[in-house]
Amino acid sequence: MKVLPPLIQSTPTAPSGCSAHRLEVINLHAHYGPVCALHGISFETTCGRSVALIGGNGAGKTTLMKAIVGLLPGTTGEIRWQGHAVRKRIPDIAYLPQRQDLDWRFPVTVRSLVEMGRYAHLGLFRRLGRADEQAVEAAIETMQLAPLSSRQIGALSGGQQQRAFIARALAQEAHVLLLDEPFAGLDQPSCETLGGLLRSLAREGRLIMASHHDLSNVNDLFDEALLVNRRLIAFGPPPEVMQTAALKEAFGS
Amino acid sequence: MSIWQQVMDYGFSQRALLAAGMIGFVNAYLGGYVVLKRSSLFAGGLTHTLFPGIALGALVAGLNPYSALFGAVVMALAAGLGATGIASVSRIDRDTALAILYTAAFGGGLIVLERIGTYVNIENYLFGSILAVGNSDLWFVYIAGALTMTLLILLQRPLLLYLFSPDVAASQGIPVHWLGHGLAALLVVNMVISLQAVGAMLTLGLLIAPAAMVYLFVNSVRGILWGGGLLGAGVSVLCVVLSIATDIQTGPAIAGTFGVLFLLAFLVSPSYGLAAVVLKRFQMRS
Repeated sequence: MKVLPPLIQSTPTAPSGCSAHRLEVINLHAHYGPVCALHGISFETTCGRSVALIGGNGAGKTTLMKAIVGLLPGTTGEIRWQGHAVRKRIPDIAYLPQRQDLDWRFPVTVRSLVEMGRYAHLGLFRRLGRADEQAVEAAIETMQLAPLSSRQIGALSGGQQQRAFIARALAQEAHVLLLDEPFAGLDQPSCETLGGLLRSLAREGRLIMASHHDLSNVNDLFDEALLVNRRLIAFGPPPEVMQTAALKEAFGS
Repeated sequence: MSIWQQVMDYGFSQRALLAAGMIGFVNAYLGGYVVLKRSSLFAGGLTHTLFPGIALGALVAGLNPYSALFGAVVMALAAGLGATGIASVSRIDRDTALAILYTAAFGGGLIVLERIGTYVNIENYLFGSILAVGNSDLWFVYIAGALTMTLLILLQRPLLLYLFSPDVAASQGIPVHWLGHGLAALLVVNMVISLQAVGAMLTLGLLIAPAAMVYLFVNSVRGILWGGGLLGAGVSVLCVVLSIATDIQTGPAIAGTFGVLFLLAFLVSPSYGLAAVVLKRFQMRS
């Protein structure tokens, strides 16, 4: 696999010291009308890791990710990225919705989907230049989609669809990838391929956060686990977080 | 006298052709967005507010082209915004809310027109009268059409991101709510423009059929938008010629032709049509 240049070179604005490449979530609250969805979530992590978000249905996994990318209007608290408060949406952070939330009949090919990732850098009119083409090409290559690049996205398998969306985030030059249930509905081989790719993206210096429901393979797929049930229950290496007591609290009895 | 001479010799037929080309193109291009957003039902609801809108205009200022246009725009915007508003604060979805609003408005419109006695004259607004397009109407069509196309081309990229996945678009800082409202407003403007060509009841066909046909063949958004636009313009112009030659009304001719063409496209589309489905079943069995 092609190794991308270290990401630290491309972020000259990052302040020096330990806050570079750090994502901090500080006292995050989210509400859906009167219903409290997240209560006082605080944690921090850095690029180079992959974090599993675990918790039962309705525990706030999706809400947490949507709040981090700023999709929920009624949130309070602060998100800090590389030491700066995130107020405007930035292409550094990419959100990948659940596969079932997307319209896979939409008339785009894998390549056009990945090209959409460049729009954030191109503005309204600028055409795709050489550098953009190369970024698109590299993203497709990294996600092992080259032979499928002219397929309509509905004609891909679940794992390939997930990889196509990750390729789009890579073309966007996102450093933080928030994935909603990327492993849901994938068979064992696809799971392993995707797990390997996510792991290598983290090794290259990206931060991967993914909601995940299969407790049996959290340890194999992720470096850290974050257990939520509206509040943050536990955060750390997967074996510690997976301790039964904590799980009980998160899933109810 | 040949059909060609018949068409080209008269000012009214030239104007009709020019109007049909522009109306056909812009409506079908915009219709691409409606089809891809899967909001044909919403668009259909909006077209049903045009008739009560015309009735409202007639009630306020008598039945004339200006009161009709103004009433139609006001009613469509009110119903569209009202439905969107209801959906955003309650558990009722937008299509349901709009269906209730437009049927109520439609009923009201019928009562109003019967009372003020202009019931019979309204046919032109319901089914179109493109052969009666005047010079000022033509200017109106071209200015509104150019404005619509400018906006759609300017906002092509954000619109594309919004159509495919509003969540992802919003996470990139695209103001998805405003894009949604803007598209709905353009929709209303163009329905009103196409009143003249195909009428309030038939405008939906011209809006969505061309893009839906191209969608059965093409896997590119640009292809659907421009291909749909060209198809919309071409068929509209042909139907004007046809209706001059045969005395069939233009609006019904356009709507009917698109229906037939769509069914044909559905039958023969190699990857997304009936033939493709049957072929696949057959291959699987053997």
